Amino acid sequence: MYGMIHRAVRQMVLDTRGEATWAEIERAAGLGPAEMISAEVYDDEVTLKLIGATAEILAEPVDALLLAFGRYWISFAERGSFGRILDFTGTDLVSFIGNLDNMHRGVQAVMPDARMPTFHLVDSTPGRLIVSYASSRTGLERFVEGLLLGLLDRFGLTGSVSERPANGHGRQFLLTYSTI
Amino acid sequence: MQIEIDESVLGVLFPAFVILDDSGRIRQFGPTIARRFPTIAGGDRIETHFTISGAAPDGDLSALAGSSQTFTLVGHVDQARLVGTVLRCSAGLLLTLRMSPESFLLDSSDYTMADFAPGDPAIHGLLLLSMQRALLDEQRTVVRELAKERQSSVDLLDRVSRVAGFMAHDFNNFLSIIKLTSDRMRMELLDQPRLRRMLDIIKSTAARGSAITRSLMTLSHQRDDTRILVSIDDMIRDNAQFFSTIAGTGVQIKMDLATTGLVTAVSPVGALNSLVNLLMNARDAMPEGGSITLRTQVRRLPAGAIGRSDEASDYIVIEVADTGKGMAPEVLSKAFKPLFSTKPSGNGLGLASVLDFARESGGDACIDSTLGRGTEVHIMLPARPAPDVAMAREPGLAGPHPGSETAPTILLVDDEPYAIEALAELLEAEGYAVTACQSCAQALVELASKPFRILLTDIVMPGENGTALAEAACRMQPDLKVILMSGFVPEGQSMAEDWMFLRKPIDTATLTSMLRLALDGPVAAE
Ligand code: HEM
Repeated sequence: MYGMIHRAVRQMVLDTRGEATWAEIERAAGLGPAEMISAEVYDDEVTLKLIGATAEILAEPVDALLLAFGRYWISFAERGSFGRILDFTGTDLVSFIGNLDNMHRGVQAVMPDARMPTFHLVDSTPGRLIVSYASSRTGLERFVEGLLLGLLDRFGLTGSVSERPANGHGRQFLLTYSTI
Repeated sequence: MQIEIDESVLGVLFPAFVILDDSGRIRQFGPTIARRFPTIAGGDRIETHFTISGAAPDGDLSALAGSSQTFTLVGHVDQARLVGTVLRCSAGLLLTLRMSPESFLLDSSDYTMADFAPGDPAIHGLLLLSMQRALLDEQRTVVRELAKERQSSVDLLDRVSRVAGFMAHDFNNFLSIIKLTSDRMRMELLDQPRLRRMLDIIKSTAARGSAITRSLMTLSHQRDDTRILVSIDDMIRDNAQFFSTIAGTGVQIKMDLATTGLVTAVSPVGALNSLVNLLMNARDAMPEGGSITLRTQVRRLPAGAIGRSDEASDYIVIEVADTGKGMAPEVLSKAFKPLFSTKPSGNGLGLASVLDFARESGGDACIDSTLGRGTEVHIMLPARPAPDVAMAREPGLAGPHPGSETAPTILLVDDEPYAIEALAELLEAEGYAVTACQSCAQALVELASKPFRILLTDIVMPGENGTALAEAACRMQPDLKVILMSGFVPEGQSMAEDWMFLRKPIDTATLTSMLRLALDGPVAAE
């Protein structure tokens, strides 16, 4: 994956645990600043090594870490250089999710080696959304769940996200929420 | 051809549409107009809110109806630009407007994808530009991070290197004594093969010991070739781009370089690190932006101003000045202390290592700061005129010297009595007249009383410094040849170009050939 993902992991650790813990993770994963370049593509294995080492040092299950990281990613993007792009994508949850693919396509023009997921609004009623997610990767479902929770945070909504059985290709997530 | 379009569809196709009635008043408008221009109301004239360009001089848009010619509206309030064409519809004129990408870029506006028609190429273009901008931002941050990372490992290495260096020094001294003493014994034990064999074992063990010290030296980055003649102006110019990246956006670097034609003998890595350190400090002192002045100039400093200089001499002064928040006097007084930092993540080695660098290069550094006005750091380095070819002279390349018949006199200085004993005996056996001293003070007394051909002195001695002795000795006896010896050269010992250097543990053969070289000059032309 692109190094921007690694940077976000690093920032999350720095924000929540501090520099010493990050140094430990870097040592455990055998990575350094050279693996933290946003516009550089790294083998998914490097990303997995980083996630694995982070989970180990933070003594958290990988799934819990992926969920927390997904949620964190949204606030990370908001604060950093990608904030403007999030703003541009949509000002409410429904239009935002509806525009995600469009946004990722735009991003891909600059990051041609990205393997982008596709999101689709399957059903939308007030306070309840069904979102499908398809990807060439597997095992990122908890990450997606975290991202969707992060989006609820972003739009000032409280609620929950859960995966539900899907009968097409891809996976489906159910979002139920209300305004705070 | 007249096409009837439902208003809700119109809002999707052209989120920023406007319909004007026949009298030119606004009759209806799309969701983007409603959101972006909340003061617009039905019945307003379009000129009340926008400046029209690209239409007839009187602003009459009807002339454009049906043509592919575009016109532009610029909002009176926020200068937002809308671009579009004019169509005739049953109510009057339909302005098929869309937000111009320029406004998206110029202001940090709140446009969203919904302000554009689906598939509007502007969406793609804007995302592209935003991504590029975001990545550029990121790239700058990364360069700064890498520079910082490099710096902190350099600082750490520096500390490790000192410890390793001092260890190597002691170790080499002992090895030197062992080697020289076994050489002496060997000469006396010509007829005792068993003992000679034992001496060989001692010698080869010592040789292994010196291999280990060498790796310690490598670890400590101890090299005697690190200092070369550097034009500071050229170095700054060559790295200007790197420096401005470190300074970041919002911080401007002004350069004023005025030491053309001068060089200084420094470690180029040390010089670069010092500048990077100072630039990072300056940048960190200006979170809201500002400017950094990077100035070089020549200054003649009086005798005694720096170190042990006893006559006025020229220095290259590098000044790094920022317009940042400055330091309070109590912070300023500690700024050069190692491990002192006001930054939450600082390791406090930055300024301390700048000072070390300057002093080790025979110069000095000072800092001046006023709270609220900024900080200036000056690094002073001994200046010398640039040679035609700016290259370092390796120690060991002595100038030619007329030959000599009588026993050449050597002044030998080393604080280790065993080393003196072993060396003196060895040199006398080689036909030299040796005067041995255990301290620099004693050596100066000898120098005042009689002439010597060669000064052979240790560099690191308790409380004394062999290079300082050599400088004084050369002033007292200008024809004197100097050979410095040490197991460890504290970085930045300034050595004159024609001095020679012998690494401890001393190899007898190297020593004798070096002595011959000192007296006779190099055999082959350089
Ligand atoms: C400005 C914001 C965003 C940017 C710049 C961005 C960019 C990217 C990039 C470059 C990748 C590809 C990684 C690779 O293959 O190397 C990616 C993947 C992904 N993005 Fe985004 N993204 C953003 C926001 C979001 C949001 C808000 C979501 C929310 C649901 C999201 C969901 C994902 C997921 C799930 C993947 C994983 C790819 C996979 O499943 O294979 N992204 N994104």
